[in-house]
Amino acid sequence: MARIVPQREGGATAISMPATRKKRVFTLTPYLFILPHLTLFALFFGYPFFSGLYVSLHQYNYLRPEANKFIGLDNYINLFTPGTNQFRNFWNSMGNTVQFVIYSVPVLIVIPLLLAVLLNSKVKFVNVFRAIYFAPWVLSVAVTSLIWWWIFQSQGGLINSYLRVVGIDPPRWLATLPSAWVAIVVATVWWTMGFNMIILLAALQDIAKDLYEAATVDGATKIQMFFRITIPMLQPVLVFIITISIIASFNLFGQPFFMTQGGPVQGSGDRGTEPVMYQIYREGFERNNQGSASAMSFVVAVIMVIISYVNFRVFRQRD
Amino acid sequence: MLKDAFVTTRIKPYFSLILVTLLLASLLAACGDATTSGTTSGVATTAAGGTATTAAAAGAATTAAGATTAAGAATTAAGATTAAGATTAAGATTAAGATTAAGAATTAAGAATTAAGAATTAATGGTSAAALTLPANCTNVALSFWNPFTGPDGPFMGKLVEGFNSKNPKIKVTMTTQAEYYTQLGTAAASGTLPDVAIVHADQMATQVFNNILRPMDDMVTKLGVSASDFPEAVWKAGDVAGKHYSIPLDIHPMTMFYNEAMLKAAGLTAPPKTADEFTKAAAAMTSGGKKGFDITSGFPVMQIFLQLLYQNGGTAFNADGTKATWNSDAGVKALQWMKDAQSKYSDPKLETDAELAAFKSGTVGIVWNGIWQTSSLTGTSVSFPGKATAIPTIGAKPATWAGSHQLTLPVTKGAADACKDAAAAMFIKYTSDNSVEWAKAGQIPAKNSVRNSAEFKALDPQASIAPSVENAFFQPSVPGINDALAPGPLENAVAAVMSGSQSDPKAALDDAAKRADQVLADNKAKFGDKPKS
Repeated sequence: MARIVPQREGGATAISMPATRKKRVFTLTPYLFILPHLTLFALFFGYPFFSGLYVSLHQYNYLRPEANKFIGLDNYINLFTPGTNQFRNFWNSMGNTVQFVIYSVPVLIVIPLLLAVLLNSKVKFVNVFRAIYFAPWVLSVAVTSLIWWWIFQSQGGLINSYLRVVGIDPPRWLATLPSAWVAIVVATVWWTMGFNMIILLAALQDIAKDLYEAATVDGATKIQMFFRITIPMLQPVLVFIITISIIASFNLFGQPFFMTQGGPVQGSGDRGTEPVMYQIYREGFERNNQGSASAMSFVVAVIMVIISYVNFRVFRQRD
Repeated sequence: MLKDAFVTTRIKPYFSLILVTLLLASLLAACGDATTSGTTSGVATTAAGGTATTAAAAGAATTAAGATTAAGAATTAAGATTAAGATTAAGATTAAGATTAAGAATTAAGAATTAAGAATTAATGGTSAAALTLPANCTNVALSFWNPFTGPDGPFMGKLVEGFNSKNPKIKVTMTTQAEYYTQLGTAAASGTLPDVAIVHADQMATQVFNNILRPMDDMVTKLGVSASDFPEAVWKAGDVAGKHYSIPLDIHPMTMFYNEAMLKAAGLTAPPKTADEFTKAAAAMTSGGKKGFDITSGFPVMQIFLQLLYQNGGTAFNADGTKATWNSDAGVKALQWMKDAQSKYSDPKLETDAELAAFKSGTVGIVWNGIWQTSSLTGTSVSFPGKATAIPTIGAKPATWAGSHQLTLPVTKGAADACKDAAAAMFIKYTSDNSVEWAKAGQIPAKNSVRNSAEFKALDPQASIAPSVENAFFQPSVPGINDALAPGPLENAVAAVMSGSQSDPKAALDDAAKRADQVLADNKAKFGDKPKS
């Protein structure tokens, strides 16, 4: 008996030795696998994040390191103090971006959904149509904006020329509100609907055919099938699409930059279509206030996290 | 899940993509005329981008290939953007001019004798300074030169650089044209890769100095033998920042009046208006039915037009030290009211940026005011009627012209300045300034008085007829970040709000803008301090 115990102990150590070794190998391998991504993540997300946080707490101009100084939360306080230029600029442009999100996201869901349903049916040349609707997505924002600027511009633009021929006094699309938003939303929808459409199309093709067959046998109409089968089956994908569309719309920059230069100016002296990303760019790189621009970025990021969270939350409750 | 859809759509999207791209390309080519007019709309940047690259490539090829091919390449590049006829002529002149000049200067570069020096001075337009030469121990000096000339003007600067290189075999200047120019300069400064010579706009001078981009040029100014008296006073003073001088002015680009001569004549007038009364008469006479006498936009350059009228009425935008906005004076209110009245009487209302140019080009508008850089798209063969350009009229009590200016500057160096590079930079700056008549062909007014008064410049139309107005050009105080108070900023917004009709009270708009601007100026003063580092 007495001999067995040390044996057991010996055995136990013999077992535990490889066990720790095994454990070490076990812990290292997955980290090795995620290392490439982790490195990139740390380099391009982690570092800029903390660096941005650091910068946002300073009066910061990267060209004048000699004048940079710690100012605590002043950059944030400015953003929440009515009457400062930062407050007016930031919240005006934030309001503009939110308006754009509200105008564009529903259209960016409904039109691609309808297109996807149409293109999922057995139409002739269906692939050609799919390609046509998807094609604008690969264009750059500059090209897209240029085309639509030319279509909407008031003097000799495509739309207004035809309106004049018909005898209608044409609106100044890009120089008045809300028509400037109409122009920007139309350009954006034309440009990005293809991507949403392709994802919805893929999801549609994933829905089992027998569901529809069963519904047909039960005498359901096409419209009933759409609302009772298609929409519920698409729900997870729709949540995803709504979220990425909201985020993409929040990142609005190029279309107003090229089409309206942020104008028209409202009576308050603030620009009517200048998005918040444009304002951050101006604060950081035209006015060289990287501190204040970083603070703005963080406020936007927090708002976007909240919106995404609420979005997922709302749809998860329905599940 | 996604796989099926992607497989079925994999091939054909690309196929039709190419088709769509081709279609777009042809569409772009077809309306290229309209797109190049968009100076601020970024539209132009894309359209002209291709040209700039071609020009840069041509520039790079030059030194290796030899002058004839290079001149040919440059002409083609220019021809692609502007009217073919005009360009070929300009190209030919330049090529010819360069050859003659090259002959004269080779001697100067080869042996530094006084006689050859005198020959160069004579050839380049008569400055009193002795010829600049490289120190004896310098060979193969590489000089980098940055500018923001992404438009059709880029190739003209490229030709100047080629001319300099072919005359100075020991120096090689490499030109780089950048869009988003000041962001590029900033990032280059942060990474220690600033060029040796750079173009900087007059209104950016103080900002770039305080941002540690530029170094003082006082020593070089002495060496170059130029002084304030060689240039219009205001444009030279734009290079004075906190007691030091930072630049040599290259050109002045003033606000210009473009008019449709056919409409003017049809209205019974013989000459473009020069005074307020003549202007009102002409604008009224040309406004009838669908035709407009004077189109004024609500976007760019409406603030520049306002500033011009403000100065003509005896006002200023800022107090002398640039700490307070003063545009909400009576002179300012009067200026803005005049613009609003002119808009309601003679103009299409609520025009966005460049819409007035599009209207002018369609032949239904008598007069527009815009920058001189629009000359090639609003005159000559670009329009189907006799489109002309001339100096802007004096609406207020005294003449004043809004203008910008490109200036040659020396960016800061990483370590101590290289004597060879500095000598080469001085030679290049002198050459560029003295030969700025070549640059004027791109549609600019040379800053240097002697060049502006030369017979060669006076033969240029319409530049020569616009040139007198630059004597009255005004510039803003040399305060870092002053543009933040103007555009994009409070003043531009206020003027645009009034012109687009969203604000009906000019005085209230200007007051609010002044209040916001004062805050910007105070913030900037706290941020930048009084003295730059160098």
